[in-house]
Amino acid sequence: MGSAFEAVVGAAHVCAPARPDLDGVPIAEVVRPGNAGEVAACLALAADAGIALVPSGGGSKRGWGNRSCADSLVQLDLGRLSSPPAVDPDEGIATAAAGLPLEVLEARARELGKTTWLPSVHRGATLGGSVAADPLGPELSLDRRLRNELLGLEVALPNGTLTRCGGRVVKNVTGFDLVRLYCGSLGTLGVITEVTLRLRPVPEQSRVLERVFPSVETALPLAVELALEGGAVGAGLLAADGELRLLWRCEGREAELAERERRVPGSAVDEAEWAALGAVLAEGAEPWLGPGPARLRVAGRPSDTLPIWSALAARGHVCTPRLALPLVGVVYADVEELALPTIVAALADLGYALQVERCSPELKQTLDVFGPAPAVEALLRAVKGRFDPRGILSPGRFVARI
Amino acid sequence: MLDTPSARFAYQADGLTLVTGSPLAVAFPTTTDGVAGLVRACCAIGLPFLARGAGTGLSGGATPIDGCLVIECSRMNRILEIDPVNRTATVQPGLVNAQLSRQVVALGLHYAPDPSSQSACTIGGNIAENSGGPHTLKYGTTSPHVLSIEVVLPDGSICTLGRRDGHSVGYDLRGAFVGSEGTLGIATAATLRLVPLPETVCTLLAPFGDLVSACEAVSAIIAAGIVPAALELLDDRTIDAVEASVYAAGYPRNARAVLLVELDGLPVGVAHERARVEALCSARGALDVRVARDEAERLAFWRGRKGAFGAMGRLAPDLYVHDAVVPRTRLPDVVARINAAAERHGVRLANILHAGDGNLHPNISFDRRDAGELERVRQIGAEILEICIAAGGVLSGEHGIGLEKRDYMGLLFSEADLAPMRWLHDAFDPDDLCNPGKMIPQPRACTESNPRHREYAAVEF
Repeated sequence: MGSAFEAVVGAAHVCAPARPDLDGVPIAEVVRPGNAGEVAACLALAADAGIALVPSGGGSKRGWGNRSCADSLVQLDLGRLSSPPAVDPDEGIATAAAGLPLEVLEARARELGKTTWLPSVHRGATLGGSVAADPLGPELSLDRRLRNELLGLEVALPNGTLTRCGGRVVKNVTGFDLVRLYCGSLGTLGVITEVTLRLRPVPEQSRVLERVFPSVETALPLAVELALEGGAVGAGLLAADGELRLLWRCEGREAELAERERRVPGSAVDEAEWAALGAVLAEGAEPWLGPGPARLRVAGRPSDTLPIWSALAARGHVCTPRLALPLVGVVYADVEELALPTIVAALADLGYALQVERCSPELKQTLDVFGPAPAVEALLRAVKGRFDPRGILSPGRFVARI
Repeated sequence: MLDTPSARFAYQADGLTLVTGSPLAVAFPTTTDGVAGLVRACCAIGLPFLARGAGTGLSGGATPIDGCLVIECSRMNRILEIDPVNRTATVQPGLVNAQLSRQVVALGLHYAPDPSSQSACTIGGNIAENSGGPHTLKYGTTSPHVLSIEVVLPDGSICTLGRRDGHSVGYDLRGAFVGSEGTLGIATAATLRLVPLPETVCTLLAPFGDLVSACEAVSAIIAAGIVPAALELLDDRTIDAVEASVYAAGYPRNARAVLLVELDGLPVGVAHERARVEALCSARGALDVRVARDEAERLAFWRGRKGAFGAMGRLAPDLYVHDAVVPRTRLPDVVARINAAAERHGVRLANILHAGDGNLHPNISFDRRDAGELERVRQIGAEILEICIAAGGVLSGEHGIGLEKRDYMGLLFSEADLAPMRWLHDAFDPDDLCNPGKMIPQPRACTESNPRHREYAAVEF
């Protein structure tokens, strides 16, 4: 079948995979389209031939998702869709191809006095991959969600058409909000080929502050105080070497930062300390290379942070909480694989959202990494069935093994 | 349940009174189960239905189809829970927008989306339309403030889209539901984000001798890295209407445009930004820059802006409030072209702009009893959209598509673009009973084969 894709993208852009499988499902070949039209043509071809595709960007979150139910996969690598971004600082928007690395976009935006609010902890992450996977980052709050930064998308659909949704303006209620539907859909509804997003002013100053606590019970009240004071753009509670370090970042003018620090004092620390939070997040997306703990993400309300952490810590012999993002109620833990199904079931019973970000391919054969299917499973399947009736896009990898 | 001629007449339109329909009856449920029962009854006999809040929408989204059931949600108006720690409120759909903020102000919180109709419009309607408002510039439209929604689906079943903690599991159906104009189901409760009240608010009023300079000041403020809470612009015709009305705010009559800038945040930050905004406006030719000295003066500045639509009632019996968005830097050119078109068509048009967002509201005053004028209003309505699309804009920033702009969706989207919107709709409402015929134009083949679509196809706007 490789020859068929060669007719679309050229023989030079169909190659053998660097890794032979994805979660144990063989990857037959890697197809590298050079533009959005070729992406759409690849989808049309795959739909006609019943070939299962798995879109990929930088591969930085390659392991996220369930094991595909396909017998084999063709990897649709969007890395060639990386032309320079169109950054318009006057309008405060940028449009870029899906395969563009986030750091390239950010660097260009910074040159023009702007920044993005995209989580950038995963090395090599691309714009399209980030939109599809909707990752979290330490600078995350209910105000700063990736999906709120998106203005428009170009998406290739399984019927072979290239479509647009949203727009290139900062306010828009024209038709159904498909942008939000595609965001976080893990490439199961369409393949994102271009993204238009909001740009933000670069803050004049930025400061990372820290306090060290003996226990999570003493650390989290400060996190609540931070949230109420409203000054932190992100916060992380990091377990390391027997200590709990609460780090938070403030942005603004010098006088504002001084005022915030007066209200909630902390020790100023180096940016590298903040990067440690991102490093823990990035671990969850690293490929599985052998025995080791799985990575579990559990999410609830901000006030759930302590109960989630406590519930995980109570299984101390098999489960180690590593990091919490208290402003959004998220806790990351390393979990021994044997205990993972039990812990996932227990936390799901408590009503928390969860995702096993990293585990062995063997475990994925029996474990739904997103936990029990949600109550709206039928609706999710109805949506998938209409967008991708032949089930060619990442079949089985999404929530409820959709 | 009401089915008298007077009741059916009262519910024949929403705020877009140019298009009307006559419902079979109007039901007033008080519970989610009540809504679900009504929907199931409609499904059983194939009767179209639609939900309605306060009816303040301006795009015909709540205009009934002849013979349908209107499910009026105003009696479901309770606040079910306030969670100050997590800053959320769970409310019923008939709660009036401004009422929510009033209830949580003692906690130092407020609900940020603030449509001009916020003293009347309801949360359910805001969710349906993804409503905005003057403070959208900093705080966003309704969607980012909605964490989860309890929905009666078009088959009468009840589900929850999204989670009250804001974390997504599966496709973001909550995000897709917000702004779906009541075509995917009926919201019967929602958990909303509450936002801390700003410690300091500073409102500035800057009159300009011409609209272009005012727009340049807007761009300069944004370029300076300042994100005002609101950045509103009124043209001279709006100023005249306001100052001649009970909403008079002291806007200078000699100004060709007035810029209203609201800054909020920490006192030290606001003081800095205030100085910057004053300097930027002066450098762009502001005739004056007035800073509200107290809350009474701040409210007076806003009284003119918020009352502007009402003030235009003095100009003519009818008002058509248009809504479109263009790239911010295109505002001067686009407004000039719209004004020229108004002159060419001989219609009275005044502009209010959420300038920081590039969101225009050209307001057309007319008398519907004059058939010729009505036709000219329809013509310029279409021309405004064409001008905005040609400038890189979109059809709506906050009013939605409804019936008003449904048939103009093709200006922005191809048939291929519209297909996934129909797929999404069909996944929720395969029998097309839930507020049918709104927002998405039907393909020609469907229009010819489906009697309901034939009826809507006959609607002219």
